Amino acid sequence: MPNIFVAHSTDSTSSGQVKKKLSTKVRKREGSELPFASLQAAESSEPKQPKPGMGHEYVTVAERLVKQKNGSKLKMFNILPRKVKFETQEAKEVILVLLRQHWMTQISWIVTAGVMVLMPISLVWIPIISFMPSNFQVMAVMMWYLLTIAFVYEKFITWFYHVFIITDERVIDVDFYNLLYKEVSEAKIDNIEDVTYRQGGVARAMFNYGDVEMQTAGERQEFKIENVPEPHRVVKILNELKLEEEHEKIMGRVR
Amino acid sequence: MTPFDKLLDYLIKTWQIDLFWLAKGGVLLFIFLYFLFTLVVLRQVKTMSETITGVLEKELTLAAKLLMGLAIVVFLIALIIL
Repeated sequence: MPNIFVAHSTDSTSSGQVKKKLSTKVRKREGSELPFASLQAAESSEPKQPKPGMGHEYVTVAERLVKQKNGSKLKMFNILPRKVKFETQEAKEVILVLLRQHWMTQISWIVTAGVMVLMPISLVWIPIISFMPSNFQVMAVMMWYLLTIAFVYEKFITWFYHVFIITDERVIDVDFYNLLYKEVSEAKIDNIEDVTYRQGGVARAMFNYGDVEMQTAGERQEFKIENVPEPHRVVKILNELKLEEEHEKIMGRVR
Repeated sequence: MTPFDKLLDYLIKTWQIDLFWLAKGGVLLFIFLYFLFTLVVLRQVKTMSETITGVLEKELTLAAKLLMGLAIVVFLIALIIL
């Protein structure tokens, strides 16, 4: 009996939650709780035996990702993000990866914002508002910077909250096209049939980002996540999750 | 000359637009609309934070409130200096 029955720490981190969940999963698969504490102690001292049907080196996707965990909230490829939750998340659902569009796709508005910031300085050489009284000139510059701040803020939050979430059960695309339009679409891992990625063009090749496309058996037959960093890694994780789901079906686990 | 033509003629001859007040009104209207925009932004940040929690929502809500405060400050400055 492997030592997966040994009590895991109950810390509030997501890795702790993952471990706890995994231990629960295996118990369900086995179909019973450990009957006697003494048996547990005796078995834990025995050398590890492969679990039937699971192989000696069976590691779930969540377990594997724990080793690659990174913490920054601004990262575009955020593995097992701490404290992050989404509105339709189920109680035992674990967010494995949180993706944002690559920063390179945001370069156009970043450059525009830079130009907007520097524009009033050019008035020293090109005095296009010099015909106005000085108080109106001051107000014109202030209004310009108000517009610049609003532009940068709106673009930033639209990028920041446009996320792709991969959980152990599904893929979710949260998209805010602008300040007034929100779209949340999802596909269950079970329903994903084919996963492909595209990475064409100089910028995409240089900065390693691209689109991931999924063919699903659900109502919405195509599911696309655009401009994500390291698309090959995303595809790998999705394929592993598909295998894991199939394995769980074989083992009889249904959630 | 119809009564309507007479009215138009009267308006053109007697009604003079003060460019200063027009410009001041335009600036104040712009800042007021900006203030309304910041309210929409604040509401939207709240909606976004409810959709996904745990990702800088406090900081972004604070930034939205600062944006709204900035609009109020600029409105007051406009009232004073114009």
